[in-house]
Amino acid sequence: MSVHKNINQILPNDLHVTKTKLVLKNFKDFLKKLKKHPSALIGAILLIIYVTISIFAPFIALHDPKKTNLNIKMKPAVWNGGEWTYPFGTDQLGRDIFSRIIYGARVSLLVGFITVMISIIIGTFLGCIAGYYMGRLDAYVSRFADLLLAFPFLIFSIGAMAMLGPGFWNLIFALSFKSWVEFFRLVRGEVLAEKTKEYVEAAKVLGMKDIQIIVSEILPNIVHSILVLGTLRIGYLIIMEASLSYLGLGIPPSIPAWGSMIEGGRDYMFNAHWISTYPGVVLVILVLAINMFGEGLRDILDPRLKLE
Amino acid sequence: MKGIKILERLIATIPVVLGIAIIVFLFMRLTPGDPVDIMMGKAGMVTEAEIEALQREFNLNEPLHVQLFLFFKGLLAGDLGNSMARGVPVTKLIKDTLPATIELAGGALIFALIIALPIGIISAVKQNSYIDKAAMAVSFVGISMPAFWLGIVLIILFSVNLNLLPSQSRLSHMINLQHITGFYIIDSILTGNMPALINALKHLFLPSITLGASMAAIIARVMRSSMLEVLKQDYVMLARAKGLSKWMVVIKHCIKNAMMPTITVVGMQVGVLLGGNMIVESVFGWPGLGRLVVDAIFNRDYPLVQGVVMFYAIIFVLANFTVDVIYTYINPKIEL
Amino acid sequence: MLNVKNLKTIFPTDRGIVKAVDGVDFSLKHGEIVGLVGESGSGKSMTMLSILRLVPPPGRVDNGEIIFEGKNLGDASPREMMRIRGKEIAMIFQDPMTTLNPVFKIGEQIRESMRIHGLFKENEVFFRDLFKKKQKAKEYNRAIELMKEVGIPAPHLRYNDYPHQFSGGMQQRALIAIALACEPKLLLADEPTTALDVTIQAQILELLKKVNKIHRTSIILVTHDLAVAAEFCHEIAVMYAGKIVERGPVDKVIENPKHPYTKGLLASIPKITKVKKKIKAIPGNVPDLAGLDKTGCAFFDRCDEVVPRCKEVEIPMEEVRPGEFVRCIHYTSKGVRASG
Repeated sequence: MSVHKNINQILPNDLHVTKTKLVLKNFKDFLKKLKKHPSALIGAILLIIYVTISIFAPFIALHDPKKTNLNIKMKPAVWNGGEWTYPFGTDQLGRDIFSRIIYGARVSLLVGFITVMISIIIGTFLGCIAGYYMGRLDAYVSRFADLLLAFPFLIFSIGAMAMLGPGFWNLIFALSFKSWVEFFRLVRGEVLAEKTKEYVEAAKVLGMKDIQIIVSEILPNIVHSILVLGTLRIGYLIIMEASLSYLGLGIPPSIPAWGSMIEGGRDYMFNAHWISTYPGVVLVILVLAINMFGEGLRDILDPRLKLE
Repeated sequence: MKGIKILERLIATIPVVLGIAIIVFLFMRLTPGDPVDIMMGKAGMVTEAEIEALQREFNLNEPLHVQLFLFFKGLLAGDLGNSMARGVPVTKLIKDTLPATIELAGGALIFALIIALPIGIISAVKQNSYIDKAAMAVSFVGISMPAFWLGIVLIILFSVNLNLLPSQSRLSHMINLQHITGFYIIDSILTGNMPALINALKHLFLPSITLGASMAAIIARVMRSSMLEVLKQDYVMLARAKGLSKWMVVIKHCIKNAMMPTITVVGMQVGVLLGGNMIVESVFGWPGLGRLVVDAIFNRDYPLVQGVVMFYAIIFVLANFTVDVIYTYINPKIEL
Repeated sequence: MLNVKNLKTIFPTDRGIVKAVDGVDFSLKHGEIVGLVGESGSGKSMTMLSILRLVPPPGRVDNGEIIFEGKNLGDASPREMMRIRGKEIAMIFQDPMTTLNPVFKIGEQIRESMRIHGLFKENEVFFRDLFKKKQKAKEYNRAIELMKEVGIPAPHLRYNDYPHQFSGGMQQRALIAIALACEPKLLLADEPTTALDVTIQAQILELLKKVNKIHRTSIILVTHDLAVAAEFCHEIAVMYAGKIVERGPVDKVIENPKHPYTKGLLASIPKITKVKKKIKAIPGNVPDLAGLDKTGCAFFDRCDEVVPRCKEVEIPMEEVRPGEFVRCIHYTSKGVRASG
């Protein structure tokens, strides 16, 4: 944190090479600290596995995830006496659960990642302006943010999705519509706090423009907090996505998604529990991995940040 | 004195409620495209009469500001419109299903507090012990687990495999219960109906755990961290120097202080409780508000969706207000 | 009444064992006030907490005897210790702001130790006084009395106040009232005036002196301010890096300091005199106790009178004159060879 703070002031311009080296050294330090934080390391490794699998889904999947075949419906998983052709068994329509889970990872990760990216961009932009200039814009945006906070997240998104109808981009729109508020509040608060510090005063005295101060002085000091919050929110948003898909309000049933897979198996709990349970296990492990990594990230980068 | 201040604070929530109403209203009207098309979906099974009914229901033929005015007028009169699918006032449907939802939310809250508070306290006092580490690991999983999946797993375990607990509805068919308040637990106690009480409690068990699990995990973690903070305080040392035992200090001097951040979090979790009950009610076939709204969505019963979402948001605001009030009774420094 | 012998309190840390208290000896008679003087981090507060057996974990008392009224507190069971704390030995803490529990009324906090120790416990049949009305009334009266004694005005009204409604000085008075509640024989005052304004400081010290006179309460006053100790105590013990370096009657120590550290402390006290005399600060800082596993005097790197042998031998406490002890190479009759 503090290493980053005054690099611009400590180092004259012709030493920019050293600055890059310093950033590299920071990254190496970070990796070293990560190694000492076992749960964060496990989280990171699991995350890498998930991301790799979802990128290479077409090569890893054994079958077409959408292909139905009622002749082979509800086959059990290998360890329950099934065959290796369908390692996790098949669902009520004879689709391969293993392949569907792999494609489902794409949906979950994409929804989580894209929503957080959109939220970070909107939240950081508005938060910087509101925190730096205060004034009327800040008042309006803050009021609006407070109103959105008055809705529980799930209720808001259920209501919104009921209006918009199921769909990938609809879902991202509905989730982003509420999720930027967290980033806005974080960034606004941090900018308010950083604004009064000496290095910003110094930059002002040096005649830097406001935008320069925000982008090259203040932002580098708060980017850690944004990163930590962003990581933790991805996990939460993935649960949101799955919950909405479970209700039939998120991802349309034509696309394999974990939430709708779990819902599909609900009527077969008595004779084919694997249709519901395995997608859930995969989902829980992913969210767990993200949370472990995120908490580790917080311990390493920004121990002050509170979760809620 | 305190009463007046609480009243002032209550009045201050009115703008928030109005703001919520506007957002709900605008979300219904300003979605791109013709509202009727969107609301009716593209199913093509919509009759002319239905479209007309919808237009009348939302006053869609009037200009926007008139619509807003009419919406507020209804709201002030406690009128949330009529359900299109059932043809009854939304408020009546809410009133009928609310006891079931409150019973479930109450069960979840009690479960969460009973589990989480002792765990949080013991974990903090025995920091870094095996108990602490195990409890925190479990709570971490609890946070990462979606309620609907936990519910399904619990049903598979306790209803399907062990056949111990029921998994659907609030009461078995063969049990007769006179409905007085709508709260089955209270009703069965009032009528002295032991079998009904046991049956209702059994039905309440799994849904409460499902809904309360993530809340318990969060409360345990918050309680632990605020307890750790409190245990470092000087007044703990003073209490020890007075001659109190370690656990007496924890019980008498620490819990009340550590409860303050915890109460804030419980207040925030009410929102999760409200949202979560939509999921849990649909997993367990619980005939409450959450099921009502999910059904309404699939019946394209938009007045009902709008009304219940409004209602939820207001409950959430009121819950946070209640937390503020409780806070003043615990923390002598705060006078609202 | 109190006899501390070779007390050692250690803290295991990542960087090795920290000896917060390293072989401290001193004793205290009835009605006596002993000052424990030293810079922050010299182990004064830890000595106090060790006496009460309240060293926060992972720290622990490693060695030594604490004989209080003929009983070794080191051997006392936790239950016996609980009976002694607050009743026989009471402690006044440094920062009144954080030492009072913010969520309880001041009066209740004063009453608490009376209740714990059953000061007014009625020997009646259990249900005759189910709600302990009589006991509560007596405790209440005593709390009011105490508040009067320590100089809290309008005690009946202030009884129901919460700590944040009190000023710093009043809070410290309340803390003293808490400490006095069960009329302890020994009062451990850990920098009771540090967090207060100068004028309030004098009042609080005056109050402690009064308590000492009226109740014959023995007091150990921990302070970093030699001037305060000089004015207030009968005996002074100067601590440095976990060890007592000089100990003796107050006038002897002040008029004729022997250890270079005591001399340094005395020279750093500003005096209001006509002649402008330069205040001398002791150069350097208190050493890091974690790295302090070497033989010899811990003060050697800041000392004016250092000689090479300071680092080579373990320097014993030497009784220079009856009742006057110094731990310095210049006062040893024979330097004991360092072991190993």
